[in-house]
Amino acid sequence: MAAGTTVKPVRAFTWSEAGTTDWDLVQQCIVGDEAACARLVTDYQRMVYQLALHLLGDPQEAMDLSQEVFLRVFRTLPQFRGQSSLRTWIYRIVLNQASNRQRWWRRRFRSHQVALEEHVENHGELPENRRHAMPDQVLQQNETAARVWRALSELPFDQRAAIVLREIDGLSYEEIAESLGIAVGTVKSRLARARVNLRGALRGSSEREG
Amino acid sequence: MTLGCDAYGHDLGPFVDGELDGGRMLRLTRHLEECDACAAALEEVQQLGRILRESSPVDARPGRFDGFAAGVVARSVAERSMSWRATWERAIDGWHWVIVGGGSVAATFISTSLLSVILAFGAPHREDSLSAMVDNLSAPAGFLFVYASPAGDPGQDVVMLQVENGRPAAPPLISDLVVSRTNTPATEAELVARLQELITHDGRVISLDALTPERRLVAEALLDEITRLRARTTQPTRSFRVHEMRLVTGVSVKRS
Repeated sequence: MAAGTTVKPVRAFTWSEAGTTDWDLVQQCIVGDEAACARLVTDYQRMVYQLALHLLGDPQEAMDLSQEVFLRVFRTLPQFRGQSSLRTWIYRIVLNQASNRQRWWRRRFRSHQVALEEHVENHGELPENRRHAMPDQVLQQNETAARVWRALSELPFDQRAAIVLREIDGLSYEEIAESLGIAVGTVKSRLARARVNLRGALRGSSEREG
Repeated sequence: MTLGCDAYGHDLGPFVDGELDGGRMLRLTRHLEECDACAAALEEVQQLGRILRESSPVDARPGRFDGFAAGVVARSVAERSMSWRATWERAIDGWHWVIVGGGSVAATFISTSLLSVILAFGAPHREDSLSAMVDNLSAPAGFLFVYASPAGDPGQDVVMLQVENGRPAAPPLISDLVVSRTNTPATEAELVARLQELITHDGRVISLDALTPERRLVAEALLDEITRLRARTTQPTRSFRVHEMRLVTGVSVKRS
């Protein structure tokens, strides 16, 4: 440990306590405690929004969907039995809502492909690029990222959801299975198919670079 | 890629995700030390994850969630105090497929019931209606009777043949009439029995005038045939000359 560093002792925090906290929060929301409801939204709003954004690819749509998700959470909260974590349960609602919405969304608007400029505008440049890379490398890597995200947006929803939950949200296979309401084996096969498709996009960009 | 790489291809993703069990992880690790192609594939999977994580959309707009929680809670509270109709709509939100399915079943049941009632109690259709025409087309066309005489003897032995018209459901009395389908001549006793069967009703002989046109036609034909058999010599008849053909339908007699 570095000299001069002070360590402030804190009380150990266990998962069972986290579950209890969630359960208490849920009970307070069910009886109509507005402060508890606001806390629940604040605790999970970023998670819900980011997942919606990754699945739908549109900030405004993601924001609308987040609102719908929390309204649905409050409507169905009395049905929450605590069999899974509150986080996983909310993930499931996001996925269901996003699945419904993206069908409608894709039919209406999302037939076009994502341009590089649009991707950079929405996502920004790669963090590492900004720090180290040369401008042409930045461009190359941005193009690769755009191709991967374009391929992601073209994946079937079930594969896209699985890869987003795994790679970006970092959920375990078991948590993904709970969120999607499927078996772990199905999660594995969906992830495998998604990766095969996305690696095709990655390889395409590598070949062009070569 | 060496022989056996296929066995490891599906393990690359779980390997990167840390979801591979111990034994398989050990085997894959050994394989990766020897196989450049699989090592490159592994690098691709890892690179893919890196790209997705590092270039994932991050909405860094300041104040993105300002007032979001308050807005959602206010809307939720407002929803709770909404009308019964809105409450009902919320309750069935997400049940749309159940409703669609239930509606379809109910519609089918109602339509079927309605159709059954119409068929059971509706007014009979007119003879010139499309329905009547369809019925007529699907009904047996009738029975074709041919009046002919043996070749070379036009004045005598006029016989009547029933010729099949290709439609089923001939009434038993007529189907066995006079000359069978195999052209085997009926005996006089059989013809008399047929005639008795035709002109008696509840054990009593009825007038020919009381018969329907078709039955009357058959009765006359039977009488002719019985007369012919009684007057006939034992000369076999092999060929006939057709004098007249009658198509007996359910409602009329057509001559040709």
